[in-house]
Amino acid sequence: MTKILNEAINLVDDDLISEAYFVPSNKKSFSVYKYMAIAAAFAIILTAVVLGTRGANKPAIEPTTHPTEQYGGMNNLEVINDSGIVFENTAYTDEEIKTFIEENKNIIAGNTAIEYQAFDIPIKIATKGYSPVCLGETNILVLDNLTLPIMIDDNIVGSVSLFKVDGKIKFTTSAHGEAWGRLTNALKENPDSELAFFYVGGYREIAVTPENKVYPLLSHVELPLDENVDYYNKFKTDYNVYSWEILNDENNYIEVVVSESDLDSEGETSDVITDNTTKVSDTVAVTDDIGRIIEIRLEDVLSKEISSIEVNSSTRLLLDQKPITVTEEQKEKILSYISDIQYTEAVDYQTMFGGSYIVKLNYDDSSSAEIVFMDKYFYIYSSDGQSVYYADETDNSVNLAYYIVDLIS
Amino acid sequence: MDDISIISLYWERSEIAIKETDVKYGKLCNHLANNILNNNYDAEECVNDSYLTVWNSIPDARPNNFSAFLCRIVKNLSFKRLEHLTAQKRKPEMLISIDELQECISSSANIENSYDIAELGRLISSFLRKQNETHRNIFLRRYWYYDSVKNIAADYKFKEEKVSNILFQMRKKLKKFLEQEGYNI
Repeated sequence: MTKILNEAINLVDDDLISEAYFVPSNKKSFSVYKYMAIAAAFAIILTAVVLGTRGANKPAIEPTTHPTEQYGGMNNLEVINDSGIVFENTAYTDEEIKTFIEENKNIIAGNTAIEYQAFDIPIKIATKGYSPVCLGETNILVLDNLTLPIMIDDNIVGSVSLFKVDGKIKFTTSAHGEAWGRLTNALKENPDSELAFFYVGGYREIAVTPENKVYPLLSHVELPLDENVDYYNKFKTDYNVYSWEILNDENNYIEVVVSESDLDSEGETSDVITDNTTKVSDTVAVTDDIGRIIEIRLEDVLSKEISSIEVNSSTRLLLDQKPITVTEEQKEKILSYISDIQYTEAVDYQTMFGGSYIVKLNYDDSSSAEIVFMDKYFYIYSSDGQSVYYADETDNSVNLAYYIVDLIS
Repeated sequence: MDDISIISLYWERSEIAIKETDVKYGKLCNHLANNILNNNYDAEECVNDSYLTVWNSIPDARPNNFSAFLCRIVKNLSFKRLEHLTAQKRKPEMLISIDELQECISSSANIENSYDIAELGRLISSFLRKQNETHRNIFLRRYWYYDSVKNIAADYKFKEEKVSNILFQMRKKLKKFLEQEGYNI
């Protein structure tokens, strides 16, 4: 359903799409100018009053003549600040990188193997990488955005990008595309040099030699760089340089060999998006000693003394955001929603496109139960492994979901 | 350069057309692709592919709204690229914003109904035209362009909570509007 709605929104009228990027402060400027012109036509004093009050609050912004100018292409390239580099966040230690790659090497290598059908051959995942400097009005180097190349044979075929979310290291992988061939060429053609890496125009990555020869890693369009500027020496740091030598040093990569039989039965590693026909009962149902499924009733979860209630959503969970502990008043409200739910037991658990809401009941005896709402279905999962799911015959679970949205937004 | 002149360059088969497209819309296209793919390399590949697609489309096309035409191509190619991506990923803004749309879905939704999506799109357009301009644009920034709440708040100089509230109210209104129009999605 959500997909249908998303597809329909995709088809809204063109003018609505174009206008959506019009920055409102600029439009206010237009309004102010128009208002001032009208006021001035009627009374000079009134104009002075308007100027006096509005001028104090009017942002000093030139009206934008086109809604997308703020996202214009190469115009900002001419403005590269000469005054140095701003460093943001903290770089990873060698140990952190090696540990992280070691822990995730199978997923990373598995994905690379699938992308290139590269089974039973060594895949090298670099544990030393680089963080490009983004050149512009402010030159910025984000130290915890790190690119680690991946090699098969003698060629870079992709990369692992490390970054941090709420203090935890996360990664994405990238494969295919022109960038890797270009990166391989840039490093191979300068085997004795360290190349410096930059983003220009916000997102276009380039590698630059000590002689200031520029290798665009992508971009078919011409880059308006000034040939008189020594970008390499001006903006080279310890963090944005890389070389063929560093890449091939055996101390700087972890080698993994993936066999096709190592992959799961669907031939892919798992994704964060759950399938629409997931049957929770296949994965979390618990049986007693003689194989009967143990049921937990909705009234059971309300029968014990509740010390606290936490609420969360699946989206926040995926972003590793902590649940919110509700107040006493909010707790009573939530419990009244739950006790009003009219339900029948459901066979299948309909998983929508993410978007579930979670109420966790923490009991005085240190056990807990989670009630997960999704559309008209909800299930209860207790900390001792019991679970059951229901279909709500009313709108109470939906109303509870709305209430939780208010609490977590 | 204005859009009409850029389109004329495509019709003249002048390669400057691509450069001018990039100058004017490059960052927007990359921003949109990145919102979907969350990866600079993949995003730029998609943008470059989009330029080629536009080159191959004009002529015969002569779009009335060039920026929307271009953004649609970028979006479609980015989605195609996303289908090929696997493994543990930073959850792109695209998925987060789609999750939020789930609240617009009626609790009595019958998933077996078929829907004329184009008609539904026209209906949503008419809904949006009746809304406050700022709220409309914030809605589209989030659910068409998949912009983050943080980016939207920064551009509008609002607090993030305000943007989240606006989006929540818009989703509720849209749900009610669709139900009144007989759409139990």
